[in-house]
Amino acid sequence: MTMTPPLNTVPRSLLLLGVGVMLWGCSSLTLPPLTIPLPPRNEIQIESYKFRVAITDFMDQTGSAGDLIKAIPDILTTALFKLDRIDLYERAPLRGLSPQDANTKIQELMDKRMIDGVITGAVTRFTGTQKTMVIELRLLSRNQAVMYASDHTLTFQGRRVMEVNRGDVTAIAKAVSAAIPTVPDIEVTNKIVNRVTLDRGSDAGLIEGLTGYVQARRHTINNPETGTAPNPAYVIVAEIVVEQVSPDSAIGRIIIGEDIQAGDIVRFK
Amino acid sequence: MAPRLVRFSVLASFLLLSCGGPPSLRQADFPVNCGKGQPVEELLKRGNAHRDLMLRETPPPHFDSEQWTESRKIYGTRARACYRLVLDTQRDNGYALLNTGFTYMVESTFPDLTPELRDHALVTATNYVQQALAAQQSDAQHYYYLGEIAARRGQCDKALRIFNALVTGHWSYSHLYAWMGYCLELRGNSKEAKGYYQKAVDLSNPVGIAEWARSRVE
Repeated sequence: MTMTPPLNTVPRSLLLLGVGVMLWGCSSLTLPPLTIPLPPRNEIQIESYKFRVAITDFMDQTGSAGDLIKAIPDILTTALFKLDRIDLYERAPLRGLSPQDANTKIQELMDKRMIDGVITGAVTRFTGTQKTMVIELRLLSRNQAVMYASDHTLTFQGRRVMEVNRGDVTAIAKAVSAAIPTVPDIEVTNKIVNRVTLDRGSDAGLIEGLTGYVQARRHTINNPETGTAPNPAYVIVAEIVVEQVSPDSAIGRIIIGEDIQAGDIVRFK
Repeated sequence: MAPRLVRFSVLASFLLLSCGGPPSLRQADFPVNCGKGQPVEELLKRGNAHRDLMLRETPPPHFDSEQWTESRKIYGTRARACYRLVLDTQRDNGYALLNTGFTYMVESTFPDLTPELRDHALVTATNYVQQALAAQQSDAQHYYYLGEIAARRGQCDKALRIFNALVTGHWSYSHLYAWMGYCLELRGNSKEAKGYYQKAVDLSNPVGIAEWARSRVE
């Protein structure tokens, strides 16, 4: 007696019907497959929306300026604050530090993204008889680009207790504020490793050392029921500092944040 | 007789494979549960890992389909537990809200559900997606899921209103066109439907949906 394979006992028509059912199962109007929600852009927090600087004690290369090397930075802080172009880091933690300690502190603040630049100064000439002094002033960005450098002559009064002319310091503050240009928003065209390419450059007023935050626009639509237009919604995904500038493009280094895409917008501080 | 049997086996295997089947699951693929005190990023990561297992339709080896459906329900519950922990600290986390809704939507596709339970899952999904929409107003993706849930509930008029608003808002996504085609085909408008299926194929974003859409065009 021979064993018959089970399929041989099934009529051919039933087999064909089975195949037909399987084919139908694959081709009937099935629902489209599910798709997982896209993750949101990785948002970061930034410390300041304005260019924030710290002002260190000035150096006294004449040995005659006394406490003015601490007093002038204090007055400059107040004058810059009143002009409202830049943000200022509180002077108190920086007052009285040695140059080495001040450098360490500044580096620490930059690493923590608490400042975008630092103002340093040195008294290079001091004339007691004419009651004038010359200060060499620098504004350095976080990538050590010199954003402002100039010498300023200040007048003062008094001998034992010297008091600097506040109007002279205000003039310095105005010059420093003007050195940080107001630049329109610029689009990111490309990202390679930790650098981004921007689609505008010095023609738009961009300079080396400027810091900006990268904004990704959330895709929003009008309300389908009411037609109400949404407010533009942005998330901040990175912070960059401008490293190289040409007339029509620029390159920025990413300070923090990885989730940058072409089309994102950089708003400069 | 034997060659006929071989031919049938080959045909049956081909048909089964053409219906889809993901690669086998390794032990390392099974995610760890969420707990209080974990950072939000970790909770979302684990929630998503559970969610992705919940999505897997074909049972891994050593599971029959019933066991696997039960496991998928458990993964759904675990995923939601992770998202809930996120929402405990960030009440307006749109991504956690959206994914919670999404897991309910996945649950509505489980084969053993009664029509009432299926609709209940979809209503719950709608509630969560609407909360996500309230947290991140006018977000295109959130609207898309509202549209998809409406389509799954058979409310194609509502779904098409949402989908059309997304198209007007330049939100380009294969699934959107696939669902538009689906709703139009349900309404008997196969010619227009094929146009949308073709768009889904052309966009191929992501690739999986393009295969489904291609099967509708051919």
